[in-house]
Amino acid sequence: MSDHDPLVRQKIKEVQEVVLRLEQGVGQVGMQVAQVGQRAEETNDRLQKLSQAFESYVLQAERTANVQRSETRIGVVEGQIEHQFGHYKVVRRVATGMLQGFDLGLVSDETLRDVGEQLMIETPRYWLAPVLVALRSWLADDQVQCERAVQEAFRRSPSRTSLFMALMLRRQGRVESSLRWLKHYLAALDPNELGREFAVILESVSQGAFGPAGVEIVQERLNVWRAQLLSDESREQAQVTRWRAELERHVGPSSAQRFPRLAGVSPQWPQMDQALAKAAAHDSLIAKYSAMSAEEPAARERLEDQVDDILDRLVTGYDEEELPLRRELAQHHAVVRHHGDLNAAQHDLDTDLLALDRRLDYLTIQSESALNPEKLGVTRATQRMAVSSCHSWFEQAHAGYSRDYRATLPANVEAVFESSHNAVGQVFRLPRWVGSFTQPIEELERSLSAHWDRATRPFIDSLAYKWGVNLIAPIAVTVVLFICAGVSGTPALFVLPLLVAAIWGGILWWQSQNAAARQKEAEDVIQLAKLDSLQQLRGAAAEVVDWSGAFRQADSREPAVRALIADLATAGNAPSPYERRVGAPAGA
Amino acid sequence: MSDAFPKRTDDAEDVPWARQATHQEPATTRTRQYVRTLPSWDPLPPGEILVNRHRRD
Repeated sequence: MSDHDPLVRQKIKEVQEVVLRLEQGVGQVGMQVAQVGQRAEETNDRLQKLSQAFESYVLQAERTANVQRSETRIGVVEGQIEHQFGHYKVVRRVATGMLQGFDLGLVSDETLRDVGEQLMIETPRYWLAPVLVALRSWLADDQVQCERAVQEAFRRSPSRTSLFMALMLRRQGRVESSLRWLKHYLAALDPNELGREFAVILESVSQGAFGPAGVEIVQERLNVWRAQLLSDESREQAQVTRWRAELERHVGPSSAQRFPRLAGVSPQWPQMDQALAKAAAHDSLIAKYSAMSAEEPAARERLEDQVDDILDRLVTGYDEEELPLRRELAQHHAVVRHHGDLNAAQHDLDTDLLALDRRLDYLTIQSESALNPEKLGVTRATQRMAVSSCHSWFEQAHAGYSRDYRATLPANVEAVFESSHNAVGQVFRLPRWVGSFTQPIEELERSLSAHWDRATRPFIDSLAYKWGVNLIAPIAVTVVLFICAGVSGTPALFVLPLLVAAIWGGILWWQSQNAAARQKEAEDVIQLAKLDSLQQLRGAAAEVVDWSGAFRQADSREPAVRALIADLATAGNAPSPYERRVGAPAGA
Repeated sequence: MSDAFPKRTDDAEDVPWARQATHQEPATTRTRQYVRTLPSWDPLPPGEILVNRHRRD
């Protein structure tokens, strides 16, 4: 062995060296793998950065292209505007000067100098030019020329000319003529496409800016529009449906917590609950619309300013035909301002420029003014006028609403006790019991009690001790023992059957006592459950009475709502803050 | 360009429909004076009979 030791040691050493080299190799491979991983990560990072840089470059290139395109288009569009509407600028400048002169009560000759037939010829489609000529003729007391210019302006744009003249004459205290123009303005409008300025006019008229006569003119026109728009029956039905939806918003909450027993036992409860909730809407409607009628509409502080704003816009604003080019120009300017970011440019656009052509039909305006005044931005006065105009739809919707919920009232209110109505009923699988609250409560209680008895009697009876069956065995054994004692002839043995009979009898008596106790216990439990059922029944019956009272009370408000709706028909003509202001005695 | 321009998707408008944005400078000083040199008649819509009135004091 000792001869082999150095050899073995040598071999072991060699193996150890190989293992060491192998470990070193594995270590190097590990390091290389880690390096490769790191490089892959670096490459990935670089790729990501490259991708981001590329995306950023693409975005930047896109934005630069947008800016370049917009800059080019700005020049083109400006050229188009100048070419097509260059003279409009002059008209607007002169018109602004004239408006300022009228506002100050003194129109200078310098302002009037630029207003001539030439202006009308240079702008053959712009309504404002002949209006300026008409104003100059008015100032110069030239009726014939004024009439001619008015006709031309009216031919170019009946609605804008009429609105401008109505507001201008109103501003000069010529109320009667102003109303005539107001009438023409309204007649020139298309009730299917009403613009924002109509909303402001409606608002100012409803607040009394044109006096009661103005309200009357507007109401007349609104009636015409309604008749025109509602010639189609489905459109009228759509309005009634809108008001029905408004009524549905006033439906009260569920009363299940107020009538828990009735809700628990009556299958008609869902209909009853819904009918009561719907009847509760009457009170809510009275509260809302009475408040609207009674509320003193706050005078809009800036009413006069708003009317003047319309005049300003008519004079300084773009005409409809130049609007597409103006809008495009504004869009391109916004793109340049936001360095080609189209989304940012879009958000930065003048809201008015976007919304100028947003038009609504009259029925939408009327219903929205009545139902969602905040959303539309109208005041209480306009809401009141709108509700007044809508009263017929409101009335129809309310009649249908009341009829519908009354029709859902159940003819018969029943109490149904399923086995699950209490724990014992569930254990005994108590059969279904149905009673109607149209019957006297005593009768119902008797019926339910008898139902419990019928269902539980077999079980209680089954708990009774069966003496007959249990006595057979002891009697037989005792008799046999007596016979055995007689056959043996030993008198002492007669004691044994007596003893057996006595012990067995004692056991049987003890068992019978136990059975009687169990039976009593079961009877008590069942009695309690029955009482619980009866209490549920009594509670439900009492709640039927309460529910009837509550429903009658809520439903009795229906005529009051009808009267309120009838009142609302005239509420639109209530004195406005403006009328009160001008009608109030001095110093009052 | 107009076609490439994204449409505004937010439903809520900055200004409710029935209100006008008021960021524009008023065109006048809002003095609201009457022009005393105006004639007694008023310009009327086409087809209306001319109304003559006494000149305002």
